[in-house]
Amino acid sequence: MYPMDEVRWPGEWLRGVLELCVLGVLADGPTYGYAIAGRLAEAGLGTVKGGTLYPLLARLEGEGLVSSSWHAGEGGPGRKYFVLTAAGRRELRTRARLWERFVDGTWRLIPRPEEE
Amino acid sequence: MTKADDAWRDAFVLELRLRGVPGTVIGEALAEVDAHCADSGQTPAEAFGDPVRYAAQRAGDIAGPTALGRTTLRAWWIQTAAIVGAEGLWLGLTGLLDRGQAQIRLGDLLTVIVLPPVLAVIVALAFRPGMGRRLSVMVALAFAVAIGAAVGSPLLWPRVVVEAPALILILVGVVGLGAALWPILAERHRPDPITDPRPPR
Repeated sequence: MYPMDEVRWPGEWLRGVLELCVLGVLADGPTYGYAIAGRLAEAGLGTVKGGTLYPLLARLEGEGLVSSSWHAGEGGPGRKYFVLTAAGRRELRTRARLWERFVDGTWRLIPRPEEE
Repeated sequence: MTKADDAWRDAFVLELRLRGVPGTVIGEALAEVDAHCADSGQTPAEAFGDPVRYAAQRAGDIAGPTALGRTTLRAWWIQTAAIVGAEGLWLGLTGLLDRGQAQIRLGDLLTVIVLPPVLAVIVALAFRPGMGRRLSVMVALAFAVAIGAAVGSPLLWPRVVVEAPALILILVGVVGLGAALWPILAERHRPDPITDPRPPR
């Protein structure tokens, strides 16, 4: 099990950013559900449960941004590996640019913590 | 796998079946749960929450709204055809005993028009996520409403709207009931097993 996070992020923040982060994780190469959850936890986003992750991955697959296949596991049951499609890579680039503008916009309104 | 895990998986599969999700897709979703729990060491309940709620969400994402829509449409068709068939047969048979003419009362027409959507709403409420144990209450309610309407409405609205030859109504009744049974019978011959997508070890 991955270590528990210290911060509990507001649900609406996570809901807004989770898809983009999952696409980002997959940009590094094909991987499976639990490993994706681990990367998200390591990045400080907290524990993303299977009940949240797999429907999200299914949606991405339905939109053609991700494809999946089952591979025999090492000594265990098979694992479902997810990989970014070409359309997924393009979508990630687009959303990353938009996200940058979005975050820049919010920082124009919120006082930076050092300025308090 | 513990008994609780088996119960979780059974509830999950049942809900997906009720939502018309194909067997291959159910197998896919189930294998995901098993694989994730094997990796994480969590139980299905810990990782995926309530099985009925997760199945409802997953069914919506896997098959899109069309699967649920198809199931609802099919339910509507069966209910409406069954009500029309039963009413037609009842009026036709009673008319046959009474000089061969069936009397269609206002209450009979109201039953045929109003009952199918009312039953459809009750059934739709019964299959909302989380209704699990209350399903039998909803089904009993639907039954009570249907019987109450069939018996009560011709008494409440007894005005005869039209008369028709009893044999015509018996024909309508037979066709209606046949149309209601057809989707059910047709599906029995189409096996839809749940298949595991994982490669054999």
